[in-house]
This record gives sequence, structure tokens and C-alpha cells, in this order.
Amino acid sequence: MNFKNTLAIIGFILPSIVAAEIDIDTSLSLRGDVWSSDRDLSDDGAISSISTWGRAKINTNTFGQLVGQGWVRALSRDSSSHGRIRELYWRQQAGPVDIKVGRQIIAWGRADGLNPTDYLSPRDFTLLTTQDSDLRHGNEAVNLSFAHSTGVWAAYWFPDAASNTLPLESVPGVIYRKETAPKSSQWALKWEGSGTNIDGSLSYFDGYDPTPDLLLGSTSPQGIEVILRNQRAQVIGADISWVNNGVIWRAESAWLLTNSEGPQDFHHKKPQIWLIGGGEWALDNNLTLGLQATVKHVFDYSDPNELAAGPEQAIVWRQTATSNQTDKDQHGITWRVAKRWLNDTLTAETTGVVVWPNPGGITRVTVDYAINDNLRVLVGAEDYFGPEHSYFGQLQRNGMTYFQLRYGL
Amino acid sequence: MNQYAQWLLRNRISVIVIILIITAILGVLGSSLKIVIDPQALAPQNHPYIKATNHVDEVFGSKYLMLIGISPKEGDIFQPAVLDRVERITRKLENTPGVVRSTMISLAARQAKAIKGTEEGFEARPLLKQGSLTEGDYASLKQAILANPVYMNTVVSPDFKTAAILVELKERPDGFQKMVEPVRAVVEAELGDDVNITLGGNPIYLDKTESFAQRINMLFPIAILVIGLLHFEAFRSKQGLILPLVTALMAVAWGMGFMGLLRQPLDIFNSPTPILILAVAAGHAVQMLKRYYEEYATLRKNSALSPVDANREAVIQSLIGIGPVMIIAGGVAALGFFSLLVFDIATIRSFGIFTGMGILSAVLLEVTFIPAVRSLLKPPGDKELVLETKKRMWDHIPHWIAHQLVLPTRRRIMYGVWAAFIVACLFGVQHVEVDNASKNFFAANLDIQKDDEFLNSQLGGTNSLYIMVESTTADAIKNPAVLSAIEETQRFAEAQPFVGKTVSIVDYLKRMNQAMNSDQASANVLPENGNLVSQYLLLYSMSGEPGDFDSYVDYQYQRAKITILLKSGSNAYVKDLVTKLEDKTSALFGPDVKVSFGGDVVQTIALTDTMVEGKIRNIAQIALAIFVISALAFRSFTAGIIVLLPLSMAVLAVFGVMGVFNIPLNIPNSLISAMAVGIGADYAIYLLYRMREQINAGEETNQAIFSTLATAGKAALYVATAVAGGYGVLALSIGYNVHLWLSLFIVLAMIVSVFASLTLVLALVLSWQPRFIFNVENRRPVWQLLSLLVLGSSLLLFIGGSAHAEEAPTALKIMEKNLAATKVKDSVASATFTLTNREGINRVRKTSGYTRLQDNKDDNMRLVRFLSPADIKGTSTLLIEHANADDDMWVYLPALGKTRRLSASNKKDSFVGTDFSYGDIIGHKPEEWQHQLVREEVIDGEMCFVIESIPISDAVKQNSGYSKRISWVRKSDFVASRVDFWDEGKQPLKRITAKEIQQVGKNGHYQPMLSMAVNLQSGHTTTIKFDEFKADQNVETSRFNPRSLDR
Repeated sequence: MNFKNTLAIIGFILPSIVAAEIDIDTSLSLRGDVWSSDRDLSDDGAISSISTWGRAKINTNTFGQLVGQGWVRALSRDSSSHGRIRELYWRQQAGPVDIKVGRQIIAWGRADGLNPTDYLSPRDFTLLTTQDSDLRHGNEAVNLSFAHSTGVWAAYWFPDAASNTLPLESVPGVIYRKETAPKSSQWALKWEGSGTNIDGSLSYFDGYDPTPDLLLGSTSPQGIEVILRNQRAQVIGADISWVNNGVIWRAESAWLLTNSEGPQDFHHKKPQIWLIGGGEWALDNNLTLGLQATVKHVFDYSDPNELAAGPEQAIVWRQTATSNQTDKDQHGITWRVAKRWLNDTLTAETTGVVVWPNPGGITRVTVDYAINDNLRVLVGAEDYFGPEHSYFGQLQRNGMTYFQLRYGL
Repeated sequence: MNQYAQWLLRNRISVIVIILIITAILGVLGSSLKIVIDPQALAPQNHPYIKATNHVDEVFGSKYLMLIGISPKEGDIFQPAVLDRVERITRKLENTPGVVRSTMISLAARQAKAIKGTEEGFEARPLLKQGSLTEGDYASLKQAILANPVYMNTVVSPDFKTAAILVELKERPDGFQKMVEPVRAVVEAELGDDVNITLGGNPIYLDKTESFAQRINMLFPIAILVIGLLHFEAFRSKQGLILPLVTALMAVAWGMGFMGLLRQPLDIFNSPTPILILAVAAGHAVQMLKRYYEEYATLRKNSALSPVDANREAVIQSLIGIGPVMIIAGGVAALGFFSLLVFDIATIRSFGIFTGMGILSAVLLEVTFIPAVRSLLKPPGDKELVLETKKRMWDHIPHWIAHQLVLPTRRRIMYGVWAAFIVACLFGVQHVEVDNASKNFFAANLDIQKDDEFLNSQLGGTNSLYIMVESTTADAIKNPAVLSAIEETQRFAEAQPFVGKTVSIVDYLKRMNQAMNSDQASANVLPENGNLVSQYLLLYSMSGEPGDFDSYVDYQYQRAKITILLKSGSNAYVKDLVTKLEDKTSALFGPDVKVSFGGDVVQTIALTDTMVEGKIRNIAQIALAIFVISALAFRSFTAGIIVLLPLSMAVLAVFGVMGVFNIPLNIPNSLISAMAVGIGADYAIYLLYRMREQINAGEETNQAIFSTLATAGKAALYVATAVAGGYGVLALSIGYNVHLWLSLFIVLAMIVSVFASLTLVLALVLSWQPRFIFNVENRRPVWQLLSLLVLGSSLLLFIGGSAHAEEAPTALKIMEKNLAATKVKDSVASATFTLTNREGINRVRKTSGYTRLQDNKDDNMRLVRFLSPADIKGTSTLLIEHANADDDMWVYLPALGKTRRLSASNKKDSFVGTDFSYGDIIGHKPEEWQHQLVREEVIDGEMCFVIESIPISDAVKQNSGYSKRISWVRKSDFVASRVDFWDEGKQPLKRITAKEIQQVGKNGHYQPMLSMAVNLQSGHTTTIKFDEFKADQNVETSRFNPRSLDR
């Protein structure tokens, strides 16, 4: 089922919806922003954009709910317009059963910022947005969930895989070939339980890793071809959040299984176990502090330096960096400190990640001021650091400052 | 009583153990009491002046004015020694907790600006230049002060010898010492040899009052010693010394324990309570002990009983003989104190009820613990008996009085003496002056008095009176007619004696006009039209700051404040001045403008008004109660009248002396009549009871008079001496008039009432030959006496006002009903939240919401979805309450596309960014708070219970964020129409008011359609208006599921 199928289903349902008693709920966000850099690892300098982000919900009394959201934008640099329908799905609830059909964003994970179980909906990492969540877009899916006294049981079926959009450094003599996401279905199961002051989930995903692997393709006079391919993966995940004495404790873990054939297989991402957990404290005077520890172990790890220097080694380095598997064991911390003033109209926040043994990470600072209920100003900066052959280090050129004016309707 | 006495002696060990355990528990509870003055508890909250003062405080933050004067020892203020200190103190005070920054004024205050003419018009520049100043700067400053007379007599004395800082302090429930302490710390850091720094204003006096009241800790042991010595002198035995003191100390522990149990702090009115209870309890113990010695001596003389058996029998006989009369006498004394419940001042009511409980404790101990202990003690030896029965002063005086009474001629002379006494007292009573000014509490030679006098001589005055001019429309104050009326009011006030300064926005506008017109003297007048006023203010704002006029006008120019500084706080003077000003302003301002009076001086007027009204009611009530109880106890109206007489004499004596010696009648002194009556009623009752007993025993009348005076009369003398001695100790509290007055008047009341009892009571018995004494059949069993006491108590409390009498026992019920009143089964609502900051900028949020009670019918589920504005549209919160665990809370943020768990264990967190906390929305669990019904009051035309709620533990305090709540709960439907909150630091935090209260659903519940929360510290306001609210709609449970939040 691709987007056309979604449209067909929606098109089929729409007349019924139109005939029903409906309530339409819309919101629109007009944004004008200036960025000191793009997110394409280029040296092209500042870029500005204007964009419109919209969301609509049509609620009917008998035929469920139709939800859609998307954006359109114009960039200063190439004056090309672009747009995306992020979600368009139909939802119906019948007692304990809830069904969603269509393009939908499914965000898994209770940890803050980094979510090891989050493999279901793709992201466009080149998109210029101030919030990580805006990078995400939906993929076509059928989502069936059943609420029972034992918890909520959910099943997902994705007719097609979906791929993240990665920033790709423009290198002379390197040609990137992005394979389309496989036309194979994916599926997932999830159990979510909730008790007093605690909730958590267990999940399983069998599909394609949305982050493509980088593979060496053919060599031609024009250069070396680098293939971006989404490969099969299974993820067993669990997460939990617990509130105790005003502190929110969160933990999440995922065991990623891939088709890697061993240490010397550099054509697949390696299996890994990733754990993250920590607490969030609401301190006095609207100050929030979040701290998490992250631990990752990569199975069958091999050092790309074992390969002979050359194009293949360079690509493998890039592949391990993109997969954030440059170390066999990686430790780190994440933080989030947010402070609100002026009756929540002014918010300053810094977030970040630092990992080791190869020190790297990202620091972000944002200041968000609501001039009034409609108009907001956001100013922020992002700085990546670390060795070149590391997940964060490779993104150093995406470091930027930005200014955004946002008008909401 | 015989059966009871036998039972008591059989179970004496158990009784002693139980009483000791109770005493230990209550003693521990009482040991943690502290002496504080809660300004709110002091003030009669119903009084229009108190309401007006609170209103002025709400709008302008002006209630307690304090002055800091800095005077150089040489030269004038234009020197670094003075101006640097003014600057430093001002800066520090700006950041000192409890100081109202917006109204603080000094040469260095940010809002103190010199208005100066310029080519473009005028500009406002800070009066005091920062940094080091040159001679030229001093000259400019002097010139600026002269050109801006508003600062003269306020922050600078006319002779430039004193610079002042006027600080307004926020009210605190934990007393004035805590209020003044931070300011004093700032000032003390600036003391030096080159300047004199003086402090003045009502908070300074009240701070000192609290500090002097602590002296009771030192005086109490001395009182114990004095009372003990007096008893030793009376009985000449160790038992006579120890047993009454044990009773007294245990009664004190019980009374204090009850105070601690009910979390009632000591204040200036109940800090002498321990001595009072000590004295009264010792008095009752003496009566019992005296009777015991009598019985023991008789038994040893007239029977063959062994000393041990005689001891046991004497204990029983003394209990039978004194027990009933002690219950009556103690009951009457307690009722005297309970009668203070009629006062509209919470602290006086507390004093009354706790003193009464202390006395009842003493009676209880005297009929349980003491007989049980005495039966275990060694019987008195023969030597001890001889010493006790040896004739001394205590015997000679009653004997002499008996001689006078039995002779009709002498009796008539005695009547004549008392008549003359009454006439003399009535003469004095004419001159009693009511004055509650706290200045009078202290001797004139104390430093605070000298400082106050100095500041009054140098500046406008240390007493503040505020007039608030209030219209219903914005910008009304800019109306020239209103401004002109304000100015006329100021000129009228300035023409009155003791008015040292008046300040209002008019002074600034006149100065602006003058500066605008090249500083011509003729232009020192108000601008002629409203537009010009607005333009001047606009022009001022270009160089001034937005908060410069916060002391004088509110943000919308709807209200203005005239500050009047007075050199006298005398009640009579202030009352006269306020009356004149009320007349004047009612003529000057139109019907659309409301004028109200506030400030510390009118607060004392309110106290005085309430006290005088209460006093008359109090005396009449005590008299009625004592008459009724005595008449019922003796089954005779005549008995009622006879018992009343000595008390009337005591009260007359107190008021007569007060008038003759020009001692003001104020709150501390007003309590004395109740004390005098409460303590003094015993004597007449003991005497009448004993007289009847002697007659019943077959004694001839004159002989019965001698016997009565030799026994009960002698004991009454002991008691009066002990009470007077105990209170006499307060005379050692040099410089603190409250203690001196108490000492003087209680001693006086004791002397008068004991001698009136010994003479008048028995004289009237002889003259009238009443049946209740001479009819031997007329005896009543003990249970009937107790029934009468209960009946009398009920009657007294009923007369005293059922509202106050209900107090704590029903407060919890009221709060339970309050919580239940709005707890609907389920609801569907749409609401508009309007958030307004201090500057008046609004943020509007529309929401839809659902609630549903869980199966336990107590906890709620609550879903709120935001519909606008755009930045939070689609955000939903879900709260699921748990009675015995932290609540569950989730939020769905559309931007994240995720539902996330939040911490909801902290009820003090803001409810979705509003000024309401989650606790306010959910409702505070009544059982987690200690409630007290403090009064009843009409709000918005509805009679309300006013309930004070204190958290029962630090955990509840921390979780709710409140150290105190006061709720105005409507009697008609139990919905709170107003709740005031104090933060964890005991500072006023927030006020929530509810309007448009409507019945909703089918089950008799109510919902305010409009609720407003005002943060008193930040000035931020949230209004929640329900556009629609439907209850009992069968909202399905499935809505309250985290997975449904994204719908």
C-alpha cells in the first residue's frame, strides 16, 4: 500500500464522512526563518525559508476521524518549493478497538530525545526545522490496537518500508545512489501496560532499518558509486516510565538484529544492544533538569582500520559513523535543562549528548519567546563535535545558528 | 459525690497513672508553643476599615508603614555618610523579602524622580545621582528637593537634618518580629558613629510588643515561686506548698497542651495565660486543702480513727464538701473566659477558650489526681495541724469582718462604704478613654518611644492613613474633577492638627505643570483638562519608569491613593480626623467615586470599635451567665444577684481606676474584666455554699457567719492573695505597660472582689435572709449541679453567638461539604482561560474538558484539551487522581506526536500554566488540613463560613505549596466564593474568587462559572470562564485513557 492506496482509501471513506455530522479542527503555522547553514553538510552558507505547516482533523459522529498534516516551503537558495504530506489517515474507535489506516507517524520510545526503539517512522535529517519532531513524517500503515485489562495490544502492518533522508557530503568523484525503500512489508507488535505512577511497553519490529547502509557500488569514469540501501532488521524493545516523589524516571532499551554475517561483514549494520535511562527533575522556579545515561554495545564489531586504506575503507568509516557504530562499546550522557520565565512565554533550553570513548556529541541551545498568543520568536544554535569518523563528528558542518518567526492561526 | 470519692480512692493508682500520662502528652504538645502576633488574627475582619485596609493592601500593597531615619551627628544630610547609607539601604531593601518594593520611597528609590523643566517640556530624572557626589551635586539635589516639595517631610526633613526611607511591609501570619527582622538586619549593617539611625512606625511597636511578651518565660517561674511562698505562709506545711502548685502546674500543662493540640500560637493576649491558669488552679487547690485540714483535724479530735484512716476519710469528706462547689465555681470561671467568644477578634476568642479549658483542667485535676495523691501521702502530723490552725492574719481579718456583719449598725456603715466606693468608681468610669494605639503599650522612656518622637518631629509622621479613591471605569482618576477633589481633600487634611504630610498623584501632576511652564510659581496647579493630564503622564513616561506612580495610582488609573502621614496615632484623634475626612470626601467626590480609608491607624480604630462593642456585650453576657448559673445552682434569683455583686464591684473598680489614672482601655485591658469576673466569682459561691452548709448543720445564723468566714472566707483570702501575688509578678516587666496594667488590675480586682464577697455577700444574706440559705430542705444532688453547669454553658455559648461557638468541631465538616459541593459525577465543559500579567497583557486559551469520578466516588479523572491559541492547540492533559498514591498524569504534545507521562505528585505545580495549582483544581483533601472556623462574613450578599486551614504536616505543606488557606465557604451551598493562600514561607501568595455559582447536574452540585486566581506576589491573574458546563452526562470511562489523548 503506497500513498496512492492511502488516497484511494481516504477517497472511499471521504463521501461517508462528508455525509456525516462533522466537526473540523484546523491549525496553521506560518514560519519565516534564517539559518546560518543548511543541513546538507555543504559550505553554501546562510539560507532562509518561509514555510507553512498545517494540520486538520475532521471528526465525525459515526465515521471516525480523518487526520492530515503537512507542510510547504520555499527556500532562498534555489527558490524551489517543496512540500510533504506528513500524515493522512483515517481513524475509528469501536469500543476497545482502535484502527488507523493511512500515512501515519508512529513514534516509539519513552526516553527523552534518544529512542532506541524508534524504527517505525522515517525522518528527513536535512530538513530545516527547529524541533526534532518536525523532521519526522509518516509512512503508510494499518494500526490496530486493542485495549484490554492486561494492557493495550497493538499490531502494525506496513506495506512498504520507508527510509530516512540523510545529509550526504558532496565529495568529488563520489556518486550517491539512493535505492528506493524496499517494496516489502514490515510489521510490528507492541504491548503497553499502565499502572499507578508507572507505565511501560514491550515491542517487536520486523522490517527495514529506516537508516540506510552505505555500500560500495560500481566504479566508473565518473567516479565511485555509493549505494544507500535500507536493509532488513528486527528490533526487540522495551521501555518504562515511572514517577516517584516528583521525579520522572525513564528507561528504554532495544536489541537490534540485522543480517550481518560477522565481524568482517561491513555491508550490514551490526547487531547491537542500546540502553538509555535517567530522570527528569522539576526544580523550583520553572526549571526542569533531565539527565540520562546511554550505553551501547555493538556485536561482531570490527575496526574499519583493519581494511586496506582506500575507497572501501572510507565508505565503511562513513557507514559505521552513520550507524553510530564506530565503537564496540559506547557510553554517554544526555541532558536537558529548560527554564521558563514570564508566565511561560519565554523558554530557554539547552539539550545535548556527549559520548565516549571517542568523545563526541551535540549541544543545542534554544530560546523561544511568545510575543503574544499567535506570534513567537525562536533563536537557537546547534554545535556538533567529535572525531571525523563518528556519528556526531561527521555532522560538524551542520552546526548552525538560526532565527525563526512563527505565526500561528 | 460520696460514691465517686470511694471509687476514686479504690482506683487511685490507675487514676494517677492515667493523669500523669495525659499530662506528659499535653505537656509535650504545649512545650512547642511560640509567641507570635498574627496581624490577621488581631484584626476584626468584618469591620469596614479592615476590609478597606485589606483592599488598599491588595491594590497598592500598603498596610504596614515603617520609617527609617538617618540623621548625621554633624551637619546636614548632604554628605556621603548619609546619602551613601540611604543608597545602600535602599538597594538592599529592594531585594529584601517582605518589603513592598513598588511603594518604597527614599532619595535613592528608583521611583523617586525630580521633575525638571526642559526645552521640550520636562523630564524625570532620579533624585540621587549614583556614584561619588561633588558639592555641585549636593547643591543640585537640594535644589531638586526644593523644587519637588512632594519629597519634603517624607524622605527629607525640612531642616535637611534627616533623610528617611519609607518602607511598606507585607503582612505575615507569623508575627511582626519576622516582618521587621530582615529590615532591621539591613539597617544594623549600616550603623556608625557618624550618624543616628532611628526606626519608627507601627510595625516597630508591634515587633517590640512581641519581644516584650516573651518576658513571660522569665516571669512564669517567679510567679510559681511567689504563689508557692504565699501558700507556705498560709498553711505552714510542705503539703500546703507543694500540692496546690502541683495542681497548678499540671493545669498549666493541660491548658498549654490543648493550645498546642489545636495549633494555636501564643500571642500578647494569651502569653500571660500560664500565670492565670497557675493562679486560678492554685486558688481552687487551696480551697480543697483548707477543707481537708479542717476535716482531718475534726476527725482526729472527735473520732477514734487512726491517722491513716482519718486521712482517707478526710480526703473523702473534703471532696464531698468542696467538690460540688468547686465544679460550680470552676465552671463559672471557665464560662467567664468562654464568654470572650463573642469578640470578633480571633485571638481574643482563642484566649478565652484556652483559659477556660485550663481552669476546667484544674477543677478536673483537683477532683481526681490531687485526692488520689493525698490519700497516699503521710497524714499531717500534730505539729503541722497546730501550725495550720494557729490564728494568724488570715484568721483575724475574717473574724473582724464577721464582727462587723453581725451588728446591724456596723452592717449599715459597711453598706455606706460600698455605696461611696461605687460613686467614686462611677466618677472614674466617666473618664475612661478607649485607645488601642500600640504606642501606649510602652513606657515613655524607652528608646522606641524616643525614636518615634524624633521621627515625628523631623518628618511628616510615623502613622499612616490611606484614602483610596476608586471609580468603576479606567482612567477616571485623570478626570480633572476627581483630581481637584483629591487635592481639596489633601488641603483639608493638611489643615487638621497632627497631619504632617499628604501625598498623591496630584502633587506630581502639579509639579509637571509647573515644570512645563518654566517653573513659574503660578503654574503649580493642576492641569485644566484631562487630555493635558494624559499628555503630561505620557511625557513623564518618556524619561520616568512605568512603576514610578505605583504608590499613588493603579495601572489603569481607576484607583488613586492619598497617603496622609500623622504625628499622632491616638484613637480618639484619628477617629475624629477620619470622621471629618469622611464628611469632606462625601461632599467632594461624586456618587460614581468610592472613597475608603485604610492604613495602620484606621486598623486600630476598627479594633477599638469592635472591642467597645464586644466589651459591653461581654460584660452583660458574663453577668447574665453568672446570674443564671448561680440562680439555678442555688434555686434562687436572690443567689444570682448576690453572686453578681462582688464581681460588679471588681469591674467598677478596674474601670474606675482606669479612668482616674488615665490608663487607656485597649484590648489587653479589656480582657481584665473577664479575668476578674472569672476568678472572682469563686469567692461568693464558696461562701454561700459554706453558709448554707453551716445553717443546714444547725448552726445559729451569726455563728454560721463566723464559721463561714473562718473557713471559706479564710480560703478565699488565701486564693485572692495567691492570684494577686502571681499576677503581681508581672509588675516586674518594666517598660511594658501591658504587663503592668494586667498586674495592677488583677491585684485590684482580687482585693475588691474578695472583700466584697466577705462583706457584701454575707451582709446581704443576713439582711435578706434568703430561703436558699435558710431552707434546710433545699438541697440539690451533685448530678443536678453538673446538669445545670452544662445548661449554663450552652446558654452562654448560645448568647455569645452560635457562629463563634461552633469553632473547630464543625470546620472539618464544612470543608468536607465544600469539597463535595462541586464534585459532580462527570462533566463536559468548554472554558476560556484568560491569563493576565501585571501589565495587563492578556493571553487567552480555549479548552474543552471532561471529568469523571472514579468508582471509589472520591478520585476524579480529568481531561483538558486546548483548542487555541495555535501554539498549544491540540495539547491535551490527562490527570487520574489516586487517593492513596501519587496521581497519574500524561500530556500529549502534537509537536512530538507522543503522549508522555508527567510528574503529578506535586499538587503545587501550575495547572496547565495558569495561576491555579493542580491542588486547587482537584481540591485539597480536608483530612490533610487542620481547620478552624474563625468567623462568619457576608461576601457578595452570601453569608459565608470563614475557615482557616493549616496543613497537618510538612509533607502536606510542601506538596500543596501552602502554609495556610482561608476559605470563605457559602452557607447556602458550601461552595467557596473566595480562598486566600499563603506560600510555604507564610507570605500571602494567592487569592481565588468564584462567581456566578450555579447548580449543575441532577445531584445537587454546584459550579462557579467564573473563577479568578490572582497571584499576589507576581500580580499575575488567571480567569477561568466556563462557556458551557454540563454535569451528569454519562461521560464514558474510555475517554480517560492516555492513548486517546491524540484524538
